[in-house]
Amino acid sequence: MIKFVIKRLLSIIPMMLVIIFIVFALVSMSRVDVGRNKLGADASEEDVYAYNEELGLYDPLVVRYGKYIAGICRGDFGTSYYYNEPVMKIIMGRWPYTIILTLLSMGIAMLVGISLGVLSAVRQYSILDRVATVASMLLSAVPTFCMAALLVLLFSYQLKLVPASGVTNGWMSWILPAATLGISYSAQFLRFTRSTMLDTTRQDYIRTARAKGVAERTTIWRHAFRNALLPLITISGTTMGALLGGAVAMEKVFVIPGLGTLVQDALNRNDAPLVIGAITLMAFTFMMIMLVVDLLYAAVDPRIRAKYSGGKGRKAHKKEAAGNG
Amino acid sequence: MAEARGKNNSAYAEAWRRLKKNKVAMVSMAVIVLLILMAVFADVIVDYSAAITQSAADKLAKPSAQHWFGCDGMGRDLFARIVHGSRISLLLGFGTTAITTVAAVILGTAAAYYGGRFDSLLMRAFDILISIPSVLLALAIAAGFGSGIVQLICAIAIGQLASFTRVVRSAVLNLVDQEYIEAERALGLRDARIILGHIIPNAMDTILVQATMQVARNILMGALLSFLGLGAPIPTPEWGQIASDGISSLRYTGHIVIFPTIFITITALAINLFGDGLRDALDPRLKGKA
Repeated sequence: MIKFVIKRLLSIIPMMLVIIFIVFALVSMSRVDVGRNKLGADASEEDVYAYNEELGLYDPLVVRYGKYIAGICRGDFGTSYYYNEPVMKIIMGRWPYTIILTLLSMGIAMLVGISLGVLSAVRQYSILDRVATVASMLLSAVPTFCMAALLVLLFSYQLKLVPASGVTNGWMSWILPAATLGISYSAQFLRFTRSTMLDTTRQDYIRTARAKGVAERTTIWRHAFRNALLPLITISGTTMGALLGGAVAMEKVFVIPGLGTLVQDALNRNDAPLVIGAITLMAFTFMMIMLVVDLLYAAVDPRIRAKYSGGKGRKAHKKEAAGNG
Repeated sequence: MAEARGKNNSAYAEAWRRLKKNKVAMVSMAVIVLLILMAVFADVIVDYSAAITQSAADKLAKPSAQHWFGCDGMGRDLFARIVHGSRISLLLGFGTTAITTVAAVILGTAAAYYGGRFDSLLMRAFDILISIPSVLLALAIAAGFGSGIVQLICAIAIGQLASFTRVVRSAVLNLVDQEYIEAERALGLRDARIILGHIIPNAMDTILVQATMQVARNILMGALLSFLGLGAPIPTPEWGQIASDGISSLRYTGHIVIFPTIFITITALAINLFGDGLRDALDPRLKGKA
């Protein structure tokens, strides 16, 4: 298992190098004159040239990329053009907000989506199932930022229950952003859980469990749900990526000073180092999430565990197989 | 049966017959056609100048007989903006999907049919592409190339290309091993003829359904990116942009957000429901599955 974790961790390095290169190359296509922006319209051509030269902006892309990577290895993500501060320091100040929002929303999305999905599958064609199906269809057709705006309109301006924006009101400020993003993404979990559960509950081993007289609750949760969990873990990884993007929009609607608003401001100010740094960090986070997903896979499915950890796991697999039979 | 479907149109006629019985799908189709007509005949419905003319007196005006949907924060007629905004919003949905579909079909088919090093290289590249959340990719593209419709279309198309190509690839992989394809190879048919004549027609069901769903996703993505300021230049109307304008005046009135939201939602919903119906009609075995 440790070998698997190390192997998987190492595989992130080349992926990250390519991702940073893509982002770096895209952002470098910008024709904005950094020195002119910084020094103003009055500065002489020579000064602007010297400024750009010192930043290494006239070097070939590959050289600049190499220097950037070398910097990252020393923990240096460059200096923001606008703030004149290390990119890492600025990012670290904004980072927690995005993390809180993403994790809270993910928790809500999974809790609501999976529980309703299981219930819908268990009571297929019941009123609950129908309402949940229609609701999830609607939810996946409304843009998240529009839903956020409508909820602000209702809960902040009409009912005056929660603050409309900002993060200065403690946990109250997180209710609306996290609930909006969470509920919006719960639709995917709901539909997916429902269809996977419907598939698993039709399997022979479920019929066997019922025939053996296993309690219905145990059959659903211990036998069916556990087998439906694997595909669910897969989609939670990709959903997390989409949710990270959704968080960027939520930060704008609710004026949360997270990474999303930081990237947008940096974009408007042509602050390339900050844009690259923030996007890199978000992509890295996403990769780490995918790593956790893979580890969860191994934890949930003894067959996958067995593949990576020699004899011990294989025995466990046999035991499990015997148990199921 | 699969072979027959590619060669003659009777299978599609059969699917159409099934689709016609599906009331939800037919209503959705009517809605989609209406929306497209609205985009095409936008100039006939309401003059474009109404969508961009500002008037201080009508600032944030509520819906009335004169301004059906009211006015936005700059006093522009919201109905005119939504009617004309449908052009760019639908272009983002349909146009981008068309680009992605063509690219995905070419890449996915080539990868699955020829396999080997090209296939594994492409799939590794897409593994990486998929691990950059599409909103971030769009932001990076905007940082390098500025914002605008072309950049927006590229950002959406590239963001969706990887997953679409994977779908096409796996559909084609299932076909390549079939005996009739092997027989054609044995007969010495040229690759182009096998691919165009037999593989793509047989993978068409999957491609069609996937493309339909993609349209809805692209419309939502386009709205999101417009909201983030990566879309058409001001004052060009676009649904996501209009909603975004509405959010800044949310404190005073909600109608500027509500109307574009209704239009985006109805469009996405109709396309998704039509896609569901299309899938059921093309392959009745899949009925009821997600």
